[in-house]
Amino acid sequence: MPLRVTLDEMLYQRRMTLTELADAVGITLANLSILKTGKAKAVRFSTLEAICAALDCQPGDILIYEREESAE
Amino acid sequence: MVRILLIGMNLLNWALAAGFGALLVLLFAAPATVAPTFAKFGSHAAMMVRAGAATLGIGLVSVVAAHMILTRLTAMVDSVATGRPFTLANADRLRTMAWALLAFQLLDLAYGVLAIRMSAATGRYFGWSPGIGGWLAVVLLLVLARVFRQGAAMQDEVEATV
Repeated sequence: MPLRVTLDEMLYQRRMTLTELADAVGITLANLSILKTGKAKAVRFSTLEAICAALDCQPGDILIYEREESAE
Repeated sequence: MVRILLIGMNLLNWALAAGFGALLVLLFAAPATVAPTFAKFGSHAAMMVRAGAATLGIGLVSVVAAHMILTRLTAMVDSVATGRPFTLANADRLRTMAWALLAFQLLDLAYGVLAIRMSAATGRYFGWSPGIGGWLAVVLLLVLARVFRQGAAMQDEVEATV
């Protein structure tokens, strides 16, 4: 998928674990894990807001669009 | 509760099939036994025996259609109890039920033709009248199957939304 979730890197920079983020954001660890591994089909604005607030970052810091080189 | 009712209905359904089968065997294997029953039709007796056999045949095929509908309905009731009814499996079940009901309607129509012919030949009423309800139910089930297909896709979408 050309859209990549860089939650891992952001968490590393903030020295925060996924469990801590889950607690801060108020969503389940399971759902956050789905987001982190790029298995989510959609993200609610409210979730994005809460994550950005907790990590003190912009949506662009955790979502990156990469153009597929081999696309036909 | 509904589940037990449906399973009971299907058991009755197959009991009916056993009855139909037994009568069919009797009709062909022991014609002498049933001859007195058909004697009242006089010159039409032979035709009535054939018509009776055809009716029993229609009945037997109807049992299969009813079995398909009842088993699918039981499975759907079970899935509703789990709280996750919008699945592709249920969409497929509804579609199967629609086709089974269509088969049922066609069999009913076939019996109708038979009943009208028997009535015309013997002057007796064989209890058949056309109805629109079943045909509407077929359409309703097909539409519901599509709705469930859409619902299943939406449920997947919601579950993958964080």
